[in-house]
Amino acid sequence: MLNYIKADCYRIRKERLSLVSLGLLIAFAILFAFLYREDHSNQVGQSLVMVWTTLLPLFFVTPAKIFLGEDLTNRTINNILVKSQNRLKVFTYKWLMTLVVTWLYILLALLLTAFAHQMFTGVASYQTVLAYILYQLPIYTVIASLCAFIFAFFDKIYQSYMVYIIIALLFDQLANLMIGMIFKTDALAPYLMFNQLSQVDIDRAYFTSTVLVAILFTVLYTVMAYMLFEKREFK
Amino acid sequence: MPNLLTIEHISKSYGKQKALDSVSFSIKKGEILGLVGQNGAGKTTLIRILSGLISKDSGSVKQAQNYKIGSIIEAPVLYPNMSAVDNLTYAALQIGIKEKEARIAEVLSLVGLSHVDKKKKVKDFSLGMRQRMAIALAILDFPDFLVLDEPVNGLDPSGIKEMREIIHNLRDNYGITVLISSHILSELELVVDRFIIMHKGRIIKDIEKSALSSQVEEKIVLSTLDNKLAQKALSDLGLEIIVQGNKLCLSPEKSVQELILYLLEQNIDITDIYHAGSSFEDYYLSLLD
Repeated sequence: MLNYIKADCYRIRKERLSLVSLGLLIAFAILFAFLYREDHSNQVGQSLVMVWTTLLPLFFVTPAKIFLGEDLTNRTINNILVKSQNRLKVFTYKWLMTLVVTWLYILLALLLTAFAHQMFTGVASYQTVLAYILYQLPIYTVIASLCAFIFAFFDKIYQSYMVYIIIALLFDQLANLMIGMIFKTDALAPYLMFNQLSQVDIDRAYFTSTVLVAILFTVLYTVMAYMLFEKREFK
Repeated sequence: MPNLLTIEHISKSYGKQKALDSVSFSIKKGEILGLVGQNGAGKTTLIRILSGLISKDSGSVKQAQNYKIGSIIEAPVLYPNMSAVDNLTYAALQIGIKEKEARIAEVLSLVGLSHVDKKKKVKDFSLGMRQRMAIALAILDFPDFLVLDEPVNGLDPSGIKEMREIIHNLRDNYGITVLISSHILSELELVVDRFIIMHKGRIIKDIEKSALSSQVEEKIVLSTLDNKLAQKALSDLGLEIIVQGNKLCLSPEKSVQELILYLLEQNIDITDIYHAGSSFEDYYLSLLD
């Protein structure tokens, strides 16, 4: 797998694949830090994390596109499948890399915001930010898995973009509204993951039902994506 | 030559459609094998199974050794925004090839792309160049077995000739066993050692090129103003006649001159008569009939 990592690093560098999204990520980090430049309170760490909750999942399309979408759409996946003759190995690598690079994006966005805020105010909030990252990680991971699953499911990158962005921006709000109106309950609210990102509380227990459902769905998306990948003919 | 692999009773269906029906054959080491068949005959399905890109429903592929494989299926698949060298470097890193630069230079030279501008992106390549790039990519680790699905599709005559030379070079100098599928029978005839002819998911003929020459016989083709009368007259001579449209085909037991004299004696007017060698194409079509 080390060879695959070396090869993909080379391709990312040569094709400058994540340049635009990284540029935007840095720009937003500085912007958010600037917006909170007057806030010197102890709670600023939480605010700096929460301001990202709607926007950050949209960046997950970049790793999913680099490691899954492009290869599946352009059929370049066939080259590696022929040489390796091992679909499980190829899938495991691509899935793990999508998640790992997504985690790096999360770390970069939130720590950079904290760093920029420190530059503006002199207040260091890294400890709070890291605690929030730890608590949000299962939720971000299930969202990243959903994104990767969508890229593994659709034949065209633009279809994957469209479906994921619509889900990321609208699904939880619509689902909450519909369930509330039809069934008169908000029992599903703790499991609407995009909404739950902003509900994380680091003063509560780590393993809540939300986290357990997030882990369960991460496994489910992974298994479903592999079942698709195992049988799929890329042509 | 020992077998590189033996394929036994491979079957594959897509829903109710049977793409391969108990296909069996073997491929000898260092052989160039041609896979021939109409659209839907099952060639690409077979090639995809041999390349490990799809699974078979039943049957087995027995390998004499753990071989490395390279393949081009239908069209070249490359990263369009990278140059030839970048595409090859990416693949070399993926496979874990040491001394990448030397290997890349060697395969580029083999496929005749050493002269190409190193910064030129693959998306700006002509189809012929992309085909050659795909071959370079497939042979980067010098595989034991190379599978080429329609490698000359869309190439001009000089491109086809160059592709033929590349394939021969790979076999002769690198010992690579090659399986080629193509619709262009005349071209395959110049490249392969053996033909596997497929029809409706089955192998209908497995024949060495040397044996093929005895199957494709010379014949005399003639047409007259009254073919029925001519057929009867020629049958009286004991000749076996095959009717193909408005032409009569017969084996060259009598010379053209003898036939002309004989038919004139019978008051049958000849409109056309010539000596023809039947081609591989005729043989192939006769198998389908």
